[in-house]
Amino acid sequence: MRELIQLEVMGHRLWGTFHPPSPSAPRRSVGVLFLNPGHVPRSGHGGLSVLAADQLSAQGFPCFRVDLPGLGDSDGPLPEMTSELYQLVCKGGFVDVASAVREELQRRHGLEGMLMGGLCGAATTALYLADREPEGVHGLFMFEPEFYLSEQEAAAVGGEGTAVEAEHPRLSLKRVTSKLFSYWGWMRMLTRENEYARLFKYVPFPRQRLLDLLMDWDSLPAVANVPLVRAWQRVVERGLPVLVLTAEGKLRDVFFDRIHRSALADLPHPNLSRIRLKGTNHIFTTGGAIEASVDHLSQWASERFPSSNTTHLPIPPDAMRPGSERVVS
Amino acid sequence: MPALTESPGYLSQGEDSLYFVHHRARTERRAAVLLAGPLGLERAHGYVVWVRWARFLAARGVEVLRLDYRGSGESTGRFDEMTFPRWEEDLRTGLEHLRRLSPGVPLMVHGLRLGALLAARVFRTERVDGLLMWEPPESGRAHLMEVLRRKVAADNLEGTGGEARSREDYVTQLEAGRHVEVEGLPWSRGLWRSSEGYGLAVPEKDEARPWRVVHLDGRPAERFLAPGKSRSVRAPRPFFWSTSNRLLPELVDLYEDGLGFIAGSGAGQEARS
Repeated sequence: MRELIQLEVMGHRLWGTFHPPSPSAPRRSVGVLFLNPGHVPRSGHGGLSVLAADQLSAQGFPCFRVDLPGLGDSDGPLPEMTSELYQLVCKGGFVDVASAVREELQRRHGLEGMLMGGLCGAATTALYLADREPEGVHGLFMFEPEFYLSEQEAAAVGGEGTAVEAEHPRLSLKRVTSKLFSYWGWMRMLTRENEYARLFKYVPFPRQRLLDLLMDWDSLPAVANVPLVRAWQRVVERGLPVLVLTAEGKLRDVFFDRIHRSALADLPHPNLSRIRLKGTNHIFTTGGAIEASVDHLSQWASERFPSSNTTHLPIPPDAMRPGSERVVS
Repeated sequence: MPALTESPGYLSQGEDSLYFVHHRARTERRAAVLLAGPLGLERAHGYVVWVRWARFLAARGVEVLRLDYRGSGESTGRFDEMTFPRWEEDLRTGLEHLRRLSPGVPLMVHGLRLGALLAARVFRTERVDGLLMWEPPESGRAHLMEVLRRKVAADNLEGTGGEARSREDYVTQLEAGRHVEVEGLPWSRGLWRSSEGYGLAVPEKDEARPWRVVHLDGRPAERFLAPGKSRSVRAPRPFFWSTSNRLLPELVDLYEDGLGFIAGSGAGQEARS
């Protein structure tokens, strides 16, 4: 069963969907809020957010999927280019409104807190918010989180992204050379995310060695979204339960590893669960990743937030247990 | 807070619920149109433009209803139980709802991509005053094969997906009754077989009601699908329903052409109600 919801926050009229908890399931004191993955409507790619909300509500979690301003069915301004929206998200442009949405939904439904997240941009906004409002955000689920700046911003800050050139769609030679001399071009090729990745089928590139060469594993990359990384450190240090799912071997997965190693080198992270999904892409639309991510999220939520009148049961950071990390096929 | 001009809701469709959004005409009502959108990743990527197209029309006196097919988006239902004729039923249900909401004005259907295939069938059998199709596939089978080609290309490029590496592999699986994950959705044998013989129902030559095919690739007249009934508009590439670097592409020509057809051709007619 689903109900439509209308929220009026910060001058925006937002539309969303409420999945009421199953009456036969144990009562949960926290809800689950899914945000838009990038520019995609609240149902998510392949209906990922719908399926996850259906399953979690069957376990007793009230679930909400809300279109942020300008996205899905909610009215509001949007930038012209996808990359501009990405920059907006990277800078936390949706955090205030997401915060107002969380507050309003908690108030309406008498919830003690919210688990927040989603894919890509949803993870970014939810992480900023979790850092800012620890009393409201009780858990975080991040699918394919992006810890780096947009290519344009990276070029502006210098370092590894400086070789990025503006592409001219009509000049294929320039297009090739811009990839050849671009940090991002190489990263995407080595993680098999651009059109030149097919070269690996014919030329025996030492892919991992080249990746190691490009990545200094012990320091933050110059293209890192530093405010977001700092938020990540604080959230992990605080012991907030976090679930991270990444597409194994893909760009965000490789970047997450690097952030993980350099940002959390001296931090215990007992409440971080990291799962790498094999054979899928950034939006989880192949290799059975939607079904797998729904199952992982449901399991994580029910284990970390058992039915009770209390909030989550975090493991104290001083317990010094390593976070769970595994690859799932 | 501005007055409420857009209201989502659910319509009953058997045991399922059809999600719709109704955009009220914001000036004097000239026509009403049912929008039949694309499916799968084309729906996800094209949503920003599709919603803005509905708002563009509503701001110019056109009542709009858009909906999600069962098993997709906000509508309930299992995707693996869906077929082309079932989605056609969804359009008919949406059409009846729009007819009730907008009496006395011409009622049109407008489809994009897969939605155009469905809308053409609905136009053939229902009391509708006009049909507009943007970039319709030649048939249901051709459309599914095109989507499969995208899947094969993406999986081969990225080294993702399962063992199957060609469209023929997937067709064999579908024919054997196994589900195939395509763009995150479980395609079934039922869906595959329902696309067989599901051609684009181009209206008959003696069809008196207005209808139009719009090609968005700027093709010359000699390559029109329906000479005399087609238009060609050059929309930015990649198209807005695929992975595009533009959230809000420049589509003024397309919008004006569509509005002219929906409001213009309808205005000269008696509403069939």
